[in-house]
Amino acid sequence: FFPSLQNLRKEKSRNAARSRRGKENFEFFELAKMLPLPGAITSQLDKASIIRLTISYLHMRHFASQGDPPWSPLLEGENNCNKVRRTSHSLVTDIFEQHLGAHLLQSLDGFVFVVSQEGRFLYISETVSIYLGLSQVELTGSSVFDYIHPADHVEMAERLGIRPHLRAEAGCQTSHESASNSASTSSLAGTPEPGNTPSELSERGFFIRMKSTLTKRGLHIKSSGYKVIHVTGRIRCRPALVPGSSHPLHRPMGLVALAHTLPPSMLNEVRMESHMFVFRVNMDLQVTYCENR
Amino acid sequence: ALEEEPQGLSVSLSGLMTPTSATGMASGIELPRKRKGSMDNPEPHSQIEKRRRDKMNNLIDELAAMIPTCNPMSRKLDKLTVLRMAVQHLKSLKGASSSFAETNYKPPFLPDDELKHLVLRAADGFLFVVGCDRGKIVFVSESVSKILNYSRTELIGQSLFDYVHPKDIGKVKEQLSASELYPRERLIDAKTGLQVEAELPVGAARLCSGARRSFFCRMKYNKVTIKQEKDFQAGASKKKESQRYCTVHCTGYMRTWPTRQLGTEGEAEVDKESSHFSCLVAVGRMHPHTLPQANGEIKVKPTEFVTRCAMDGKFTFVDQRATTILGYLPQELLGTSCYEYFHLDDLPHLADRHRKVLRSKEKIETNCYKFKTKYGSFVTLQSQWFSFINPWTKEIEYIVSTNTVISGKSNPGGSGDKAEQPSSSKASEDDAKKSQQVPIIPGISSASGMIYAGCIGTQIANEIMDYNRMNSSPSSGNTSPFSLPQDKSPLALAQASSNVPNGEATDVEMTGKSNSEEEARGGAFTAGENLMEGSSQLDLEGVPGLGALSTDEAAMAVIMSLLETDANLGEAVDFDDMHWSL
Repeated sequence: FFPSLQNLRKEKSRNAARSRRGKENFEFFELAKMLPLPGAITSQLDKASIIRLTISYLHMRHFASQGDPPWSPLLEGENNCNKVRRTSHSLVTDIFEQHLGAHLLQSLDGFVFVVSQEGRFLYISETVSIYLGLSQVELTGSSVFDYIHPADHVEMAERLGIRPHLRAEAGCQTSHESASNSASTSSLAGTPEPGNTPSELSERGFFIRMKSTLTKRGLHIKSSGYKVIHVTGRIRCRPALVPGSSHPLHRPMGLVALAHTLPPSMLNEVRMESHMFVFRVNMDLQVTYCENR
Repeated sequence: ALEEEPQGLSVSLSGLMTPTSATGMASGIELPRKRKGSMDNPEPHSQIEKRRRDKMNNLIDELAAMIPTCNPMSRKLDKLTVLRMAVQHLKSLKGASSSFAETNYKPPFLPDDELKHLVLRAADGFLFVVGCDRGKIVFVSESVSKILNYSRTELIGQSLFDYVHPKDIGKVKEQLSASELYPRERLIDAKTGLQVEAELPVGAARLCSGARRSFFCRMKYNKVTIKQEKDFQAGASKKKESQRYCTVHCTGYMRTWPTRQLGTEGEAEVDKESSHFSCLVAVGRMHPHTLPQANGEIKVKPTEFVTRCAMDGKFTFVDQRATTILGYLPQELLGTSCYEYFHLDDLPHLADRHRKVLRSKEKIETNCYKFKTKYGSFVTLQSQWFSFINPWTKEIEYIVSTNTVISGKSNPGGSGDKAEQPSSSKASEDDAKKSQQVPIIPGISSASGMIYAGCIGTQIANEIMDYNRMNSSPSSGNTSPFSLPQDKSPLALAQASSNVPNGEATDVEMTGKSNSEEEARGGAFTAGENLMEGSSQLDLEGVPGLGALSTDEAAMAVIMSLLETDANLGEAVDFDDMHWSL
């Protein structure tokens, strides 16, 4: 009888575990459905990704509402006015307003992203797939350092304002070799700490290499699979009251940026007018070709 | 309705079907970023499982921290509860009861509102839609008010061309059009630079939906509000009201809609013949670093260089930065008197400053003055001088000058404009006015007459030394420092300069402290005109026989004549008839 009791107990625990797992799985599904992503995508997500995306989504909401200034609908008053006036304009306006986000992303010649102070993508637009071939779902909530060339890690950390002692935790490679390889030390000296800086100094503009599945792996092993990205944007801060100080300190929350690949990929042809001519120069500005005209 | 999927999204959908995510729930928990080709085989399966579990637990903990209902709990919650609370939390945020997966709606990960803000913050960007036919602004996002300072309502319905710089209108028209290339125009491939043979009619390709555009243009920027204008000084209103523009980088794509969907009331944009409405949907973003500043000034660190000279104004050290500014190599300047380079009009003021710095222990500021460069043009400088006194000999070793290049807007005119010079100190303003009234150089008519520049410095140096000598030994006071002929002789110059104790002076710079009394032009001096041509200085017509000579030759002629008159030291030499520039 003992064996069967033991078996019974084991079976009971197995059933309990199975039932718990079943309930958990159900909740995972439910959670996935709550994510602002198409159902076709959410139904295919693995559990860790679901959690990762949920965390990121909540972080992003916090980022939007707690930062300075809060990202609530712009100009409430004007919005209402527009709606009251039922002119021909408003119909067109509504149409575009409806899909404003999509139009914005489609019109830009780069992709946009938000990186938190911990070095994780809080948001990255779907359009990243056009330029780098990476997926929004894979990157959201992941560490930026997983997708940036190791030699550029230090620069990225500097631009974000991640304190040196927190960098390793964020995934930043701070090894000596990579630090010396990146010729960014001189340019970094000028990056100010966004502690109490006015808005002008929150601007950032720098170049990093990001992984790209679109780049042909060719002769240059080191640079294969990466594209040079020009990042331009601003640091977003959160006002925080410091006891003993009259001015609110601005704590950085993260970087809001636009990214362009270099060379620009979209323009394939250049229109030449009658008074223009073409010549080519090599890297040291020596003319290698010139048109007859 | 307009449910057309932007091209980008469709690409990303297919890109999402990576092996990792496609396996889905069936295979259980997967590491989100499985490294391809990772050599983890030797590792026992239990280790992999343990790592997976740890990672999941960390994620759950992190999630719990984000959910308000989980936070107050002191004890750690189990996974299931956390998940349930997370689902509840998200439901409460959404408001709507239905989840996304149930509808065909493809939500953006970021709400439109927040995306608008994001683009505004990241790139100072706004969305605009213009009809291709007449450039009518059909839509513009609210962020435009923060960027161009025009309200949305002001712009919608207007023609885009009213807000584009006149010279850019043609270019923008071209971007909106789909016209065939003019016979003289060609297309070249951006990568190779070679001409592209237009295979299909260019018009069709350019106008098809989705065709991209990217161009720069200048757009009007609404300068100030009425409230701010009142704060301006009265004088400012007389300034020309020039329209301000900022450079906007526009990127976007062409879009066509069937008109019936848009409603045609008042839509003049609609071509009656065609049933389609073509427009450009684009984002305009401010080109970085061209944000219009409130006062129009660009803050640039001013270019500086340091010089040192002896008491008489002869350069003894010149900073190497001077070369890029003045054109001279340091060695070309050493030994020469700074007065040789000062603009005629600035001599009285600078001579006065020279005198002052030799007498004072403080730092003396000059007004803006012009310094002749190697190429004959002038740069505007403003300097700060102080004399360094040897603590043992109590004599002036050298004068140090920090020279700043002044550039930008400057008002030509007399010293009355001093108030607008950013570098002028108040003291120098008063001095300037004083020097206008009092001729610094008695003995020479103020109307004409110039002196060889090199003398000026020495003169002042001598003057000071004599003055000191006079003060220290009251009995000796035969020659007044202001006597004319004695100091004019070049031989006397040589003697005088050797009197100056150079000692170990490596760098003594006198920035034109030598204000000679013989400064002819007591009149107004210009207050900082940039790069005036030196040729206007050359005015040798008044000098008989000197007209054909260059400046240097004329100066030599003067020296020779001075040498000849050396014997006539007692007589005042009349230089009234002579004009020459320095």
